Amino acid sequence: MPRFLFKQMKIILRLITAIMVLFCWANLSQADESFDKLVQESRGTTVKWFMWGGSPTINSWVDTYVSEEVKQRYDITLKRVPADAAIFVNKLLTEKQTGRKRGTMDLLWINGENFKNAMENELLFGPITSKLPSFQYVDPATVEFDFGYPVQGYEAPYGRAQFVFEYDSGNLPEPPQSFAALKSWVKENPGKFTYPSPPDFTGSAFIRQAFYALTGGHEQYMQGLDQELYQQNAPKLWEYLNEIKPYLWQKGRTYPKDIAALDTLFERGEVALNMSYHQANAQSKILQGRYKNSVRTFVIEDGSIFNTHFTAVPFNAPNKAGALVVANFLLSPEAQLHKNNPENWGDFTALDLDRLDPKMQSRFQKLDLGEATLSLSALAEAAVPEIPSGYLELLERDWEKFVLRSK
Amino acid sequence: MRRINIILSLLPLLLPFLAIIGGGLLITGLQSFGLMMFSYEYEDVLFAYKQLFSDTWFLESAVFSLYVALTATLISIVIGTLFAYLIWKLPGKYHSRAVIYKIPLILPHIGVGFIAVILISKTGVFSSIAYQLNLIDSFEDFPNLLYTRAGIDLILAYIYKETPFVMVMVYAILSRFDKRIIDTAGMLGASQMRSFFTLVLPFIMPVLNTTFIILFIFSFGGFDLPFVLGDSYPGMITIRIYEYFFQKDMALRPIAMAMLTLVFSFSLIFIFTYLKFSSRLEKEVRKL
Repeated sequence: MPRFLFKQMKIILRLITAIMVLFCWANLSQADESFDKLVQESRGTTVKWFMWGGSPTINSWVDTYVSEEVKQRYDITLKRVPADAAIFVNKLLTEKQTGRKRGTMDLLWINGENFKNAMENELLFGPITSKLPSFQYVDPATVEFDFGYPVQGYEAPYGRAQFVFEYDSGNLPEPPQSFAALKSWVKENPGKFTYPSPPDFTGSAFIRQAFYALTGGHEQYMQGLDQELYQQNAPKLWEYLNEIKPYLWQKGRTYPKDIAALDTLFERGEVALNMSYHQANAQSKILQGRYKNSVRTFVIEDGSIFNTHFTAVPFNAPNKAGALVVANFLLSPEAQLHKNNPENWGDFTALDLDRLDPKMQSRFQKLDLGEATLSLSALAEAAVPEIPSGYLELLERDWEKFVLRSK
Repeated sequence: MRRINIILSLLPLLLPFLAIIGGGLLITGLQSFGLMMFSYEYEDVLFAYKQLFSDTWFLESAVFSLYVALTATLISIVIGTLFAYLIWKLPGKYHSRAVIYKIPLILPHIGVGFIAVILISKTGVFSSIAYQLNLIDSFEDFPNLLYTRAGIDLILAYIYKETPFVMVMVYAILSRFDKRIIDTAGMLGASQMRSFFTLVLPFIMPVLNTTFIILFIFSFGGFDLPFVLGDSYPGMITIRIYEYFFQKDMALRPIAMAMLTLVFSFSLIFIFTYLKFSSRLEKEVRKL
């Protein structure tokens, strides 16, 4: 999953956002009419979509299904440009600084810290969700915040990911399903577990989950950063991580630099547990032949973090109309269903199934997610929201101080 | 007039250089002081530098980078010079066959990094061979060569990449050296060693100096190998810069820029002092 899907932000005034969302709702009837105008305007144009290009599965989904559909439906030529979100946000910053009114990017795949960075520097065009008819199928409460940063309609949801652990059921029939069990398992199996070093997004999500689990759940953190609460609770996390440290891979002297490095260790059997911030990752790795067929996933009982990823339009996009039409198509039930199929990609839908017509609902329910992917209900049961960014930054900084560098 | 002409004719080259490199340097420098940082504002212009030196990690990384770059470069220079000298002393018909040594030259650094991971990791090719030969009972017994605190993996990879470069440079200059001088020295009773150190070495020294600077600066500021190999702590300085630039909050970018500024200034000072020192040495040698 993209690097930019993960990281988080400050909660500002919930109230303002709630009002904004209500406002968008009132405007929905107007949306259809003005959307027709956008469709007219964008006929025969090209949309350049800047997105993370590290997954062949996702790339081919965009290059075949999405680009063929938008060509056929709206006569739009879709051009996928692979780039890391941090890099295109940088590019936008430079364009803003040099006063370039007509940019090069039409649509961005973005979330988390990159969205925050873009908003703080006024790099996005919007609000846009009120212009998209497909947004009526989204439960606005689920996209009020992006890693704790208010969305305010400046990005349109497009998929959802949840944190899972991966293991080979062939040689590990009963994986540890809570942080308490994980600790004793790690001690009994020295060298068989590790996590990517934060600020890698997956490693960072792992320590956030441990933070929730070891300090009494996520609810207490949802109101934004409380220094006192953090100072009181964080030592429990450092104590836990330092306790397992000598039993980690390489005796905890070093950590895999990113999730790709940990994936490699898991594929070769150097470690017995892996993790992913994408619930369908194991299934698609099996389909690609990189994982054994016996690999399965589980969520830790203490709670597993999920987040939403989005599309957004830059302030200087040359083809804003076309970008909105494509964003709307990506959010449409048909595209979401197609994307949710593990054969195509397996990314979960951002739609609220209750808002769909019964026929569509049953098509979603009939999806075969593959044996390695947990059921929607199992995932939903364990799902907990991301932490506000203030905590995230402190956790990453102090992990370096109290875990990585502690002797 | 002539001067102006030269400058004018160089302009097509100079302009992009000034605009791209000069502009990049300028922005890096300014952002390290928290200036031109988009919509972020900092009260203290020295915030990034203070932050860097408030902790020993930056210095530890710098020392580690220095150590890796110096060790790898020195060893490469010694081995490369020796090999080049030996090839040069071979009868002429073998020279063209010695071209195999150039293979690592065409491999990119990151390729060498991957080769190292595939070959010497605990579950790598060498470990499998050792297991098949019953030398070890499981991959866990294979010695730990990657991600060590001593940076062995990094140093080995750099030596593999840099030695052929030294050989190319030294061999090129040796081919201009008159072999008969050595023969004469031999007839007058000089040992092999003696004639190498008193005749050949001073001749190739200027090239060795240049090569040393190129390789040292390159591996000191190299990113790809430390990214693939290398340890999480302290880690080479370029990895820390990458983390601050891409992975942390954007408001912390001045810290990345401050590190870049320091690395660049250090490299400049290093080149300047080294050249001054080595040219003075050469002059003294000539006086003798």
